[in-house]
Amino acid sequence: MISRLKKNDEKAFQVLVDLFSKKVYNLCIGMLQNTEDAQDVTQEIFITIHINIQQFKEESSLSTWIYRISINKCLEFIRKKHRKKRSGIFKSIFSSDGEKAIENHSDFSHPGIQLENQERAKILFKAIDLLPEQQRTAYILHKIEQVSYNEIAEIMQLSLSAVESLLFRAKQNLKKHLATYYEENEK
Amino acid sequence: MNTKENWIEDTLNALDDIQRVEVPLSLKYSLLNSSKRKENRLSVAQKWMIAASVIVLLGINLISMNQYAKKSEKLTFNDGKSAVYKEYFSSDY
Repeated sequence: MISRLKKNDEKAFQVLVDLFSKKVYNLCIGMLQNTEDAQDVTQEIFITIHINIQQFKEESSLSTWIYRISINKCLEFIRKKHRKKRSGIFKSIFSSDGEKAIENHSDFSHPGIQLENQERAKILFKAIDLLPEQQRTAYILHKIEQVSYNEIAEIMQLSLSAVESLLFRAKQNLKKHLATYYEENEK
Repeated sequence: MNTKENWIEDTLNALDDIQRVEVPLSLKYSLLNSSKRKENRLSVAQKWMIAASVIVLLGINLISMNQYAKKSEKLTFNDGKSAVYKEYFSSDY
């Protein structure tokens, strides 16, 4: 299929869309926490795949390469959005960076979560949003996409132990954020 | 485990039975067409070519404007000279 894709075979591209659109779209929903943004970025990702397929060296699997592009595009989108927010909100000039809290983040209802878990998932997504980029990426790949540790290591171009440590730290940080939230709201 | 720890653990497990979301049909349609849309996009090289040709055009315009200004300056200077010459040395009177 890869050689057909490199020859700009439209049918091969359709097969690629069938195979990977669901994975990419779901990863984007998890990373961006907004279905409309996820749709826009998914489109951008497939255009990038089509443009850059010639540069795919087959050193990793196609799925790993696509995941890598998807994560880079999502992170790029998040950074752009944060930059816009920072320059747009005048009052942010006066607020300190360390004052991030779960309450400041918007509600996101993931369409793939059962109704009884929706409320808790909303809180968890807010906490995930507070994680540093790498921890967030590894956690979403593992928890939402159910990608194996080995594949996460390949996607993020890290060692297996680095991925394990990232996931450990992500869980610790999430527990900390959730504890703060519990103290302020649930008690 | 106390209530707080239970609550944190339950919240961390909220994503355990997450279902994959279906791709909306409109999105799938536009994804299938994204291979065609690519042709309408300009590559970086093409963008540089356009920028370079705009700069060349602007340069040519500036040079020709400069030369035109110099020429007209020379012309008006020569016109004045010939007017003075005519005034004093012509045999029209």
